[in-house]
Amino acid sequence: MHVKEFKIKWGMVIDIDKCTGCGACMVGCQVENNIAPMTKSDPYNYAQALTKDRDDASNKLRTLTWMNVYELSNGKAFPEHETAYLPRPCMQCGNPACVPVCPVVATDKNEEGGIVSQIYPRCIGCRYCMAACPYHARYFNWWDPLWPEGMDKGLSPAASVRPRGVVEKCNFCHSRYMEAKNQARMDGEDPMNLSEGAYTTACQEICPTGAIHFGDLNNPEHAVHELHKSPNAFRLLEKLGLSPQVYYMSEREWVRKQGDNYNAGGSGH
Amino acid sequence: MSVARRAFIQMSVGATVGILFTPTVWVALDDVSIWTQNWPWIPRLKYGEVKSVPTVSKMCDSGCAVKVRTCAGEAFAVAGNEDNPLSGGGVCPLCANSAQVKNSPNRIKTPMLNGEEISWDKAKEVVAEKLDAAGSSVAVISGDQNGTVNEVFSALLADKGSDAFYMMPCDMQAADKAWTGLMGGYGQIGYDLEGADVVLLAGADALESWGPTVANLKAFAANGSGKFLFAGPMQTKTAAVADKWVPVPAEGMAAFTLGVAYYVLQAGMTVDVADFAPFRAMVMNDYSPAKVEAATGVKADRMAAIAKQLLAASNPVVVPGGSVAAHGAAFALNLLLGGAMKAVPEFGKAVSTAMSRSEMLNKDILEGVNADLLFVYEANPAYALPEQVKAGFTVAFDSVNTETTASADLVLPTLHGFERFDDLASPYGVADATYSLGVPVSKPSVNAACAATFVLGLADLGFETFEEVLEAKAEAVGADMDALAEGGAYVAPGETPVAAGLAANVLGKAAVPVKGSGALGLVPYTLLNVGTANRATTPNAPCTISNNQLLGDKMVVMMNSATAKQLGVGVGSKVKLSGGNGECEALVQVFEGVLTGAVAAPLGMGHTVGDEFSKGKGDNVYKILTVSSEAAAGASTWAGSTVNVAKI
Amino acid sequence: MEERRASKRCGGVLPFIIGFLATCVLGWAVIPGLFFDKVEQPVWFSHAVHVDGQGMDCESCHYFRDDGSYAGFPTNEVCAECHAVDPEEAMEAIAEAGIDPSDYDAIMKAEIGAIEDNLASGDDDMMAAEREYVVKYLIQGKEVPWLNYQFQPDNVYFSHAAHKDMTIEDMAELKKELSDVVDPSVFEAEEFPEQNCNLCHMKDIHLNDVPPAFQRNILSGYSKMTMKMWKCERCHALKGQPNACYTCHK
Repeated sequence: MHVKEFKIKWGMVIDIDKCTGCGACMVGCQVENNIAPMTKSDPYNYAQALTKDRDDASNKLRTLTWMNVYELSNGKAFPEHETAYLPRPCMQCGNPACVPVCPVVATDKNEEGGIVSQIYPRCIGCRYCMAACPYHARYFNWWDPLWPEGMDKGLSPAASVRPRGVVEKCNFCHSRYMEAKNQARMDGEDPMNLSEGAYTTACQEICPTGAIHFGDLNNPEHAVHELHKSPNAFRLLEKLGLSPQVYYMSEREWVRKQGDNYNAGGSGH
Repeated sequence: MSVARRAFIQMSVGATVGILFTPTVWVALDDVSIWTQNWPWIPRLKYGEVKSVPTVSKMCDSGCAVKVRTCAGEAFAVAGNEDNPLSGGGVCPLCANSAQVKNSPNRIKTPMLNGEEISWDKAKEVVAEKLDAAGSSVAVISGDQNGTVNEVFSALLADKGSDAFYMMPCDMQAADKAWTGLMGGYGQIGYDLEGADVVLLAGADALESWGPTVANLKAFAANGSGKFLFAGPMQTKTAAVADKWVPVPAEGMAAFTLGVAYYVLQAGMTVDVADFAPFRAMVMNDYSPAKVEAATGVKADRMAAIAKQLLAASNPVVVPGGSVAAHGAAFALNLLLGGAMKAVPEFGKAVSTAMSRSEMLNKDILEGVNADLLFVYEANPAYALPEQVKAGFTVAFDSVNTETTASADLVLPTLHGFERFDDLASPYGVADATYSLGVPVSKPSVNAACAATFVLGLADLGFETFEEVLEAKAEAVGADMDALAEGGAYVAPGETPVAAGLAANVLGKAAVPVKGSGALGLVPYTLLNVGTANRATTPNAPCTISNNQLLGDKMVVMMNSATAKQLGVGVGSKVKLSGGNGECEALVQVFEGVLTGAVAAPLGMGHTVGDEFSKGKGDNVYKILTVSSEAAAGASTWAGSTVNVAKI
Repeated sequence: MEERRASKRCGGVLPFIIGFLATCVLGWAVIPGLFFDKVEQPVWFSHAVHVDGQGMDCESCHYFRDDGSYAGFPTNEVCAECHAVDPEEAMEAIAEAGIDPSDYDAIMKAEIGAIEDNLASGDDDMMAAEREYVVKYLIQGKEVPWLNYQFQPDNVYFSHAAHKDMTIEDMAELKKELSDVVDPSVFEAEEFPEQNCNLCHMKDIHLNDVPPAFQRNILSGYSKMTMKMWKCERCHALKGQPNACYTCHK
């Protein structure tokens, strides 16, 4: 299998021991990326009696959570029980499983920085990529986005609004990368050598404990360069060989083991 | 005939072939494909200058210092404010969604008198008339724990000769009753979580919902070497990242703390107060580890190990949560240990006739409110305390529709946090006196007004507008208004706490665990993304609420497998919880992080008024909480609530 | 019978050719024009008056913000630097005159002092246009919904900053390859302008007096001048720039 390498490799190192699972990253992500709140009724649907209600946020199979926090359990009974929280953005795999299966090249990993792109107008909604992604990082728009009346006036300029029928996923808040490069150009700096913190993702920025570290894994001046080499660092399902650009860290052995899917029979979910 | 028909067909074929030799078809196909990419019902984005404007957000109880991100002047997102110690760049999940709440259709759009739209002038007339008629039978319930708006409301009460100022139940109140009331201490208790080397969170869910949550999380992250221990009946999100979870029932927290104090006293630690000897005797006699173990189920060696850790630390701190007794016990233990507990001096008042914070916390809302005229400011007692609050005429100030505004006689829409002046004066728990100011970021989008300015128009309190009050406040604080408006906080260091006594005789009695008569202990817990007593969940937050709290429209309660087995229920069982004077329906989830014999239920769901994100979602656990009187401490508490669980 | 049919078939070439030629002509000469609606800009804005008449620089209105983003159309805030009508004062005067603030015609006719005294234009036509701008937009606090000849949809991220150092002179070397992308006359000037705007924007717009109508595609809603993806890609390829999806999309 071929891992695509780039000079710049944007990556995350998420410190699970610092994540309380508060959900601020998920909210920040939805707001930044114009993910509409899940609403059951559609005031613009004039044939409601004939149609089914839309799904609300309780149906986790239909929610769009580019960033999703999972709860881990060590599987032991009270009082030996331990929990941990695992935020899951798109892994931006070095060898993404989603890219080769796309029949229309709506998703690709071809930009310097290694962020896997998703072009919504190109997507035909076949969802092969969703089937291929072992991290469940991709989401399908089962419904048209619908903001309750008046709420669509406060949309983020950062991400185009997707219609029903296309697949979407985390892109490390890619337009912030564009903006960081613009800023660098204005300041006479090299846009291909951004300093630490010049480009941040919404989830990283909002996280109250700083559990999410973000930067160029290849750049020794970025904190993630050292962090991802820590003995406590690991990647999810590393044995699949997809070579994710998102790393996790935990001092707890049971967490590291679950990350690599050695938890046969465990109750992590 | 046949010739013409034939010619026509031939010409048509020619035309069809001909058109293919022009760009028409191909261009049309291209345009049609673009047309399918831009459906008219998909909203278009607006572009313009993107700015980050500092202000404060008061969605959560303690409030967050934030930067509002605007595009072409329209607020669209919230980011943290690195320059402010309350944020350090972080935001809580509730405040993170504040810009969406601002534009929500759930906003109250105009003043309403008994369901009829009225003008602000008319509203003022009505309130002035009621105020005259009520005499001194006026009360205020405030959902704001740390804003100068409380000074304005309390000054109005003082003007009318009333002292009926109530805050919604909070740990700040229990802390004040214990510290100022029982122990004669000065200032507001704070905890230096960043500087401490051992932190015992004795019931305080500090990294999820207690105190200045975001500041706590920042302190936790910055405190690289400190050990965090969490004691409580449930493995909360705080426990998930703490070094150790010590299962302790909520009603046993005071006894547990005194049990730890036993070892600390045994090690020879003292406090220079008049009643130290009786305190020591009380703990040594009544709260020996064996006795505490019998009463709370916490193993004596557990307490010994914790005491050892605290004694070995150079700067330990115990952070209480729950009853007044639990707070008193923790403060006594902190005084013994001499660690990172602080006394935060209160800032000077802006309105001279206003109450001090301690005076505002004096009245206990759980004991009931009854007045001819009641003002409710951004609080939701009709949801969280349906039985306690009664009034002849209720005036509810809020920005969004709640159970309280739905049942109020007069509803007055307040400006959203991003549309108004507001402030945050030392949220409970901060180690240093901290003052932050919020300035308007957006223009009002509905016919709302500033509640404090409205109140200033009802009586002569020395100010015309709330902005003037805040200018006076900044001056009283000694801060520069301009620097505050730019998002920086004014910080004055917390002081070493000094108490007059340890309230030995009261604590000894009040710390005895008192539990209700139900079969299972009830562990109510708060998650900010689910909402607080005053604020329901926000539009984008429901996606973050897990199946452990809500499944479909059903609330989920959690218990460990031993408890589930004892009850004969399993994952997905439908149960009815009855306690207090109410009932709740829920589904069972097995979660091993709950004390045996207890059931954990999320607070903040089951709204009957509001938007679709909270209304009809789950059930209201406040209905099944039992208020028990802490007779000895002269207070009341929800700790020790029990429920009966029946399978349905 | 067989023979007749064959001969008829042979003679059918003529109608075929007529049909063929008719649609060819229509398809090349007439139909393409039908794809576009002409929409006028909301108010008459003359670049000539501002640039030539008032001696303004392009950068007075079209500039890079400190964060590297580009302020394409000026906001009311920028316009008000010269068109110094105080919205509050004007609104008060309108209220005093007893005119509904949304009745633009009445306001324009009423010759309100707070507005008229601050108009800067010389002749009547210009004054009328300026008054229209002030009444309909400036004092109402509404931004002018200018029509962008270079409209791009939300899924495109275009960085002006990334293109600011390109020069027409450099690009002239590729004028052959770019003949479908850039108006060839841009490369024919004797002296190239300092700014490279002409490469993509309407040529010499700064000299324009009456802005041309915006040609809106009736199907897609895009401008006739909207640069299609292949054009961006061709230039990127010729200049050795990346053509990864995320170079331009969001």
